[in-house]
Amino acid sequence: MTKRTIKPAAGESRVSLHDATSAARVVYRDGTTGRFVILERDLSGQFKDRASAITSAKGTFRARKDSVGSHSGSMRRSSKKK
Amino acid sequence: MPAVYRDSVFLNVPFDKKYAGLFDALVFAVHDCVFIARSALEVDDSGQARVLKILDIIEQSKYGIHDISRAGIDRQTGLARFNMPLELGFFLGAMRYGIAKQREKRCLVLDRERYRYRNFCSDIAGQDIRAHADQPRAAIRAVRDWLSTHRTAVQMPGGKAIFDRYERFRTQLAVQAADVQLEIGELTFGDYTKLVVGWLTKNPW
Repeated sequence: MTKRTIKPAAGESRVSLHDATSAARVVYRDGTTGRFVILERDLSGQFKDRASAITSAKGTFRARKDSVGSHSGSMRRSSKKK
Repeated sequence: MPAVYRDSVFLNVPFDKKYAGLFDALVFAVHDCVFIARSALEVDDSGQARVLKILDIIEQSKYGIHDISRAGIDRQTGLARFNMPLELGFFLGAMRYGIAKQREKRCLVLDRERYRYRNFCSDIAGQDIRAHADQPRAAIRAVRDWLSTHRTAVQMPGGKAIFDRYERFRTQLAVQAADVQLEIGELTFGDYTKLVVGWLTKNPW
């Protein structure tokens, strides 16, 4: 089998791949609770609070299992409907 | 680094908020399947005429995913939304009349229901048409299954595994975006794809 090679991103962004990779977190599913858990890193309090508010109502560093299917998307939408 | 033709997948999909969840999922699935997601949004701010940008991206993409699920009547205008079928037509035209490289193109058509197209776009019968029922999980599975037939040398995870990876990616996206001084919800296509690729790099299969 061919070794997997992740392809580069298309589109303009001021974010470098190095920065995007550095900022990425390892996420795993807790075997007991079934919830996703983000592997902790050096997070500032501000970022941690913001992430907690989005990923869980209780402010833990976890997300509900059903929080993805209904999300409204993260990309800024074009004003044109297409 | 310019996107390579054989790896590029043109996403011909709606850009409205109701479709955003599916769009995000499709971009993730394409990259997790070791391809490159291409969209008209990647050049949205430049001065080039929109149709020319789209034609350029189609020319640069061997694969196309065309979602016709929103090709209905717009509630505000009462008119049909033709852009997705139009761009599908460009793609099929390139497959038919292009040079040898362009004739190698392959496309997948997505809709809510598998045979709904017969009522409004029956001429596309014979294309690979799959249903996603407006569910990211089903859209990811359809894209994964289709792309895996075009990259048989790579043993890709199944649709369920890729959706699980997508959920894990989404769980940390707000933190990842904040770390690069971006707010979730204001990400451009380029920002989002960069974050996807960054996460995939750190979370391999």
